[in-house]
Amino acid sequence: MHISEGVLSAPVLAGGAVLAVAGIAVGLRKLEGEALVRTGVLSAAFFAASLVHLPIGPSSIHLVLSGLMGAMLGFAAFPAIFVGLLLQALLFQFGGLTVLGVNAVVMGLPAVICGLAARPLLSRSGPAFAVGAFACGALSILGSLTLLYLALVLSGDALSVFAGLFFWAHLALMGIEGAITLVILGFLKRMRPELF
Amino acid sequence: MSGQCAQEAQPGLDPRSRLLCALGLCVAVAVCRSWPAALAGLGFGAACLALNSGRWGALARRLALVNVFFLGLIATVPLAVPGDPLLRLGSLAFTREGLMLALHMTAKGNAIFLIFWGLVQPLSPPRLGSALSALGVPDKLCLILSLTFRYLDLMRHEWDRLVTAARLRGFTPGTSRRAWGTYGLLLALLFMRAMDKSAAIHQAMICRGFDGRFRSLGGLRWRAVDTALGVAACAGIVLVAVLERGSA
Repeated sequence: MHISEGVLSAPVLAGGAVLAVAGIAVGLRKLEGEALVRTGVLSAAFFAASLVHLPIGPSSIHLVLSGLMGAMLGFAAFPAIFVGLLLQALLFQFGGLTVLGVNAVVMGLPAVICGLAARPLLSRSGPAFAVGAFACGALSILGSLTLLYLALVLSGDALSVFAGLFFWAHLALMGIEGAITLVILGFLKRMRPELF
Repeated sequence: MSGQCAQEAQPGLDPRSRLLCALGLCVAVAVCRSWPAALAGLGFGAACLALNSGRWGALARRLALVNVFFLGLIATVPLAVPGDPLLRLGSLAFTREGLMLALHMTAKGNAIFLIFWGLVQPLSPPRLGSALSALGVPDKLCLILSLTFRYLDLMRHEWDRLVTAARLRGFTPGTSRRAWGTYGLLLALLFMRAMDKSAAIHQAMICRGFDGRFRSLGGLRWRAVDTALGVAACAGIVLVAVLERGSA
């Protein structure tokens, strides 16, 4: 879920960069020792998972899993997502240097908020856990799509049609991400109950 | 950074100069509003290609992929900008002003892509990490970058191994609830193994004297050619500013 270079206005780019620096600073603040190493290795696992193409009819999709990152890493999801985006720009040229901040905020902010908000529900069992896990994955995507829409519209009315089309075309991802996040978190809760 | 043991400076441009010049030029082109500045950006991009060693086929593929996004803009932006209609689609007008704006964004996007391809794409992630560390980026972020790159291949192999094991047990990929449930469980296993591995990696790092600080073995050296690149980039940024002012 990237915005390409050359599209956003200077104030949006600057605002995204400032928010990204703040998000990274908060994410790194309490990250020490094993938690730091776990963030790096999990970031690699999330990156690898995002490269997996899952078949859907005659086509395929790739997962974002930002809500799951927020649930597993908390505030550390922000620097992990930033690093993932930086590597994507370097290895595949998706995104770039000037939009890195905006893209990190678009993906990272909803991930952290949804992950932290869902934790009370994830610590319970039964339907409450299922609702929390599904909502964490689904609302994180909704948050990212909303922020992406705002970033485009705030850059000028000219992008309003494109922003609207992008938003509605990706809305179905909410259900897919919610369901996959529910399956993954459900399995992790059974196998590693101490995580939640 | 992993995969880089030599302390000696590597030949060629210092990654810090590449990164700083790319950042300066990309920001200048990204915020410009005039056609002369965008065209100058395309010129900078073309010039920067000389600093990447070949790989023209890969460049063409990436450029095509980048422009798929801009085709979407060219199709939609003229519908949202009022002006002289070139084409009418029912009540919607496809305007000349909108088309020019979309083409301007396309020119800027391509210019920034070419600058990035010429200056930053040749850097390996370890070199990028060394440069970021030397430029004052926090150690913890550099360490996460280093670990992510170091274990990315391992995680991809782990995923391939999990899928192969599932296929040997009769798993058929497809669009069904069962297949997607299996994918979810395989991904959960991948994350579980990543967590287990991270604990072992941390222990191994402590055994080798890790104290929480990131130490780069980058071997960076700023040479005259880096200064020349910096001067050229500054001249480019000034040119963009002058062209912007001239068009205002």
